[in-house]
Amino acid sequence: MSSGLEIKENTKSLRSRNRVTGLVMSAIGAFVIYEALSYNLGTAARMGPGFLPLGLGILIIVFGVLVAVVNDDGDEAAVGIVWRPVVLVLSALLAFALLIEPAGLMAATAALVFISGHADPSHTWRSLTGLFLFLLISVYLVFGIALSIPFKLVPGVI
Amino acid sequence: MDIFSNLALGFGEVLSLQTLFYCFVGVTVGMLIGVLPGIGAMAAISMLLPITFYLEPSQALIMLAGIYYGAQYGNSIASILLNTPGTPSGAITCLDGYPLAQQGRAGAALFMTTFSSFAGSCFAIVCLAAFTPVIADFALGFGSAEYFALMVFGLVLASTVAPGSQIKGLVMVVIGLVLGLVGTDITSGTFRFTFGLLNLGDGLNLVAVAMGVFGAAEVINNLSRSSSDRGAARAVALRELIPLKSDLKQMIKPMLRAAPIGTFLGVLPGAGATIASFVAYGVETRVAKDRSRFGKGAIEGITAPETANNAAAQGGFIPTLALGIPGDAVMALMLGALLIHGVNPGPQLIGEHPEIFWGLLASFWVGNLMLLVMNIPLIGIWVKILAIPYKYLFPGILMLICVGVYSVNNNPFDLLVVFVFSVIGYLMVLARLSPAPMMLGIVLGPMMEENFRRAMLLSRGDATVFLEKPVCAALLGLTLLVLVWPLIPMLMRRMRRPKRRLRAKTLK
Repeated sequence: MSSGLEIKENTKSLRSRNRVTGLVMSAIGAFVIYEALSYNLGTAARMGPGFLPLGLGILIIVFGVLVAVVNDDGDEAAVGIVWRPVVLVLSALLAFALLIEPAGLMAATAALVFISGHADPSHTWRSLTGLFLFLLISVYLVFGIALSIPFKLVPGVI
Repeated sequence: MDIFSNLALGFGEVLSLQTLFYCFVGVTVGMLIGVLPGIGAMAAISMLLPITFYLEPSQALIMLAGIYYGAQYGNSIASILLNTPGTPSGAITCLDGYPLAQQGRAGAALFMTTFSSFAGSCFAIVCLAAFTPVIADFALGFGSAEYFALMVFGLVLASTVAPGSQIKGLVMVVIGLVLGLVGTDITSGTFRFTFGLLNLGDGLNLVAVAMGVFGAAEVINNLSRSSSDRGAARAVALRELIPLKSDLKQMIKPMLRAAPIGTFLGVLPGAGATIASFVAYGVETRVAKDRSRFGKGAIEGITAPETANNAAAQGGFIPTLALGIPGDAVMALMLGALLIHGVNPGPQLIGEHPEIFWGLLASFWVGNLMLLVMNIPLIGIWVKILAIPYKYLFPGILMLICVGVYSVNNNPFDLLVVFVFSVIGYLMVLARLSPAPMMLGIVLGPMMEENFRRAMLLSRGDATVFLEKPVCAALLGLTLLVLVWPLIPMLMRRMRRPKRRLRAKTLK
């Protein structure tokens, strides 16, 4: 009994989530149209750069409204958000992107491994240090030396 | 027929030490990700795509393709031993594979799935060799209008056949098309959707987008699931691998049925290996005399889906290589790889680059043979690999994503693109939007616009050109049918409902 109720609740939440999804889609479509209108539309025979984006923007709005109104997901449940991996994995990626040029491969790898690693609570600093060393050395050997990508381990030093 | 000279050309291409090496790397990586639950072929291919920039185009394609079909071999190991599919297309194999393992027949089951994987691939490769050149020849006569219609058909079919919401699939295709237009418009030189960022002038980096929505988003999704213990796989002795005579007898007919089903569904845009395995299993339960055996270790229940998903993986190359129309996201990435190497996909590909087509075809034989040889005697090693916990894998996956993307242009901007698309990818997981149609749209966007523009230019702005050409009109008609098809049962239900109410009234 209780499991049946739970499923019902989840479908409901996917349904209300679909409404938000549809709205976001329509907003994206509106934005695409707005951008398209700032380009030259041209004529049907000689299309400008704005012609197709304009049409696609309209299509996105139409489908977006349909996503919000029609529910054809069936009885699938919505996925809940688990914040720990979301925040840690995304910030690890951002840290790597921001660190690779100014701080070098070693610092960027350290940030990536130590931040993302904590997404799994059972990792310890020791196990992550091991992973960090293993990844740094193998990446440097494969990409840096074998494929000769100009990585700087520590800028100004090596 | 000059098929022999073509095959000779292909094997000449493959049987060099270097190419064999890349084929080997491809199928081994494929096998690995097939074995390991939590890493899909799509993520693995996008991670290795940057490395292939240093290779010849045919070698690059051979290696990437190897990952894709290699994964279809590996997935049955986890399905049978752990009741967890290594990739989605192995899910159905759990149903009868795991009971077989519980009966102590894991070894024989693994032998049979490997063998049926091989058989399914072989069937599809023969179809690939036979039909691809013919289809390409036919498509060579296509003008822009036909080509545009073909793309519309392919995209609509790909986004609506896949499981899940069809409207969502369609909206993702259109958004993908817009994302594909980001960058400089080739005709006018206008910058579109670049927001003043010079880095976007050449368009979105396909690899970065794929790694974000498939790689990073997948990692987050895997970590979000409560880490259920996968349990340890039991060691399998080599002796156990030998199947019984009755097993061999039972596996032939399902294989013969599943191979064409798989190949056909592989050719169809959007269907792919997962659906093929489900359909093949469904067919077996229908034709079986005693249905109650299924779910309790029926031989057909493992051989049919494994034959079908391999056949589908190979069959997917038919539209990709014959027409330049990818059927799923993996094929879209393959096309992307070709484009990056300066090779234009389309019906002219086989004529212009016979070494790529026939080389790839020959590599399929070689690669499948490698997989057959690798799979069975090395089963012990795969079982050990299966025991690696995910927590040791995901930092490495993230690392490969970052380093791989960075190595394409040595530009940290691409890493920011990965970050942005990881966020988008995760939001898409929450909203239950599939990233595959979006990838198709991104790859096909520029080609579609070019053909649409040219067709309209030639007809002087008259849109009826799309209905005047028979091939074109037929394709658009089929597209309409695909779009309307799911509405029919809904309408029927609506029509029936008021009648029932009427009947209730009259009864009162």
